[in-house]
Amino acid sequence: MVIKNSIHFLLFVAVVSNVSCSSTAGLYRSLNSKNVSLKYIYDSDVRYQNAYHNVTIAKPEITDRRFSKSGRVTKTQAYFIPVIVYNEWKSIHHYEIGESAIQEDIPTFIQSAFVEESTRNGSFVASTTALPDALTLEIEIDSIGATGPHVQKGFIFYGFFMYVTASTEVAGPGTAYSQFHYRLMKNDSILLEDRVNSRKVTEPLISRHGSTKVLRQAYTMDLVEALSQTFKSNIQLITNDIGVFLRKNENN
Amino acid sequence: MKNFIFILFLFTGCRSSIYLVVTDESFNTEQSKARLKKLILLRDESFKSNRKLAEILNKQNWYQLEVEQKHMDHETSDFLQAIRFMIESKYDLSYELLKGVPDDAFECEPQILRTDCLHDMRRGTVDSYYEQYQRAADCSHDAKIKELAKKRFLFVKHGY
Repeated sequence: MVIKNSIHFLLFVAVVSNVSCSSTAGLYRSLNSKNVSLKYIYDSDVRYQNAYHNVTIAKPEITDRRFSKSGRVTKTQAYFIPVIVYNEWKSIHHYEIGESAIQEDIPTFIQSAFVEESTRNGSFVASTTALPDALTLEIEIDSIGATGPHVQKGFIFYGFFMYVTASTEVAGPGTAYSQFHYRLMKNDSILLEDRVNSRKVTEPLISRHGSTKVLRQAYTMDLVEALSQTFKSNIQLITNDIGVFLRKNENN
Repeated sequence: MKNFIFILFLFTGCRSSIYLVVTDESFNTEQSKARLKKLILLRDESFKSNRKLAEILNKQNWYQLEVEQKHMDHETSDFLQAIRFMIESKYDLSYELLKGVPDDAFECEPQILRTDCLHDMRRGTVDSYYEQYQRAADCSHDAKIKELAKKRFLFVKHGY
């Protein structure tokens, strides 16, 4: 709550008008003001064993056409109550991150993360370039995204010599998800095929009279971070599945 | 003028550190609460009176810390002294002390703290910090230490 002399009243009304009517484009710009790396710390066990199988990791393809290059901010609800002594405003936007919020090229990142994960797993030798007598791992990213709400609300109540105001900005909780469809191939025949998926939820971020710029950047960071964690989880699952399959079929 | 000096004294006297010392008991609570704090874990298995030590370090009660250090082995005393220097933002002194602590001591936490010092002194690149935090995570068998390494990399990555 802020209570001040009415000398600042006109200036304040101008500020409130600006906040309450802030554009969707402006919100999009501040949410996308910084791009974030997908890089993460691996936490799977490092096993040292002699791997007999070579697997070429083909560059994954994103087949989910809903995942856009630039991302989106869509206004889902907005109102402004302009009563003489009382103003209230609220706007709700839906935010979807796009490739532009991410530092790396996603397929290249996933490809190299697979190589690193399989090296740690130790069940097979993985490479991004074709190895002799290698099996091939093909991956399609069926579903990918990180989305969540962004809410701005506030009020101003004013008399002759004073006013009372409060405003809040809430970002999240957001949800990141990804689904990988993978095929382990030997020449043209499919040895193993499955889909794995993962979903992570971010903590809501709340700002009261704080820096909205920091909150919005943190929101994008959290969403990209959560998306990166879904990749990590899917990559670990697939690597383990392939490891189990290869061990079972070691004599073939 | 007197007021100004008093306020200045308050700011310098109560300067809080970005580092927060926790124990196994308080780790999870602080991890979720203190988004912009770097946690330092005093593990139950490595320190007999870790709750008391964490309190001493967080309250920056250096006289009491020195009293406690007199009853410790050299390695533990150096590790705590290095934490003290980090809280005091004396990263170069802390780094020098941590170099003398074996990599695998205290479940590999000194490796994380050394990298923190390098990051705080801006000596290195994001990739070099990444490699060192990854090495620390791989070295440790303690899930909480692995979690610390992951969180620390977020600090580096997001440029806090």
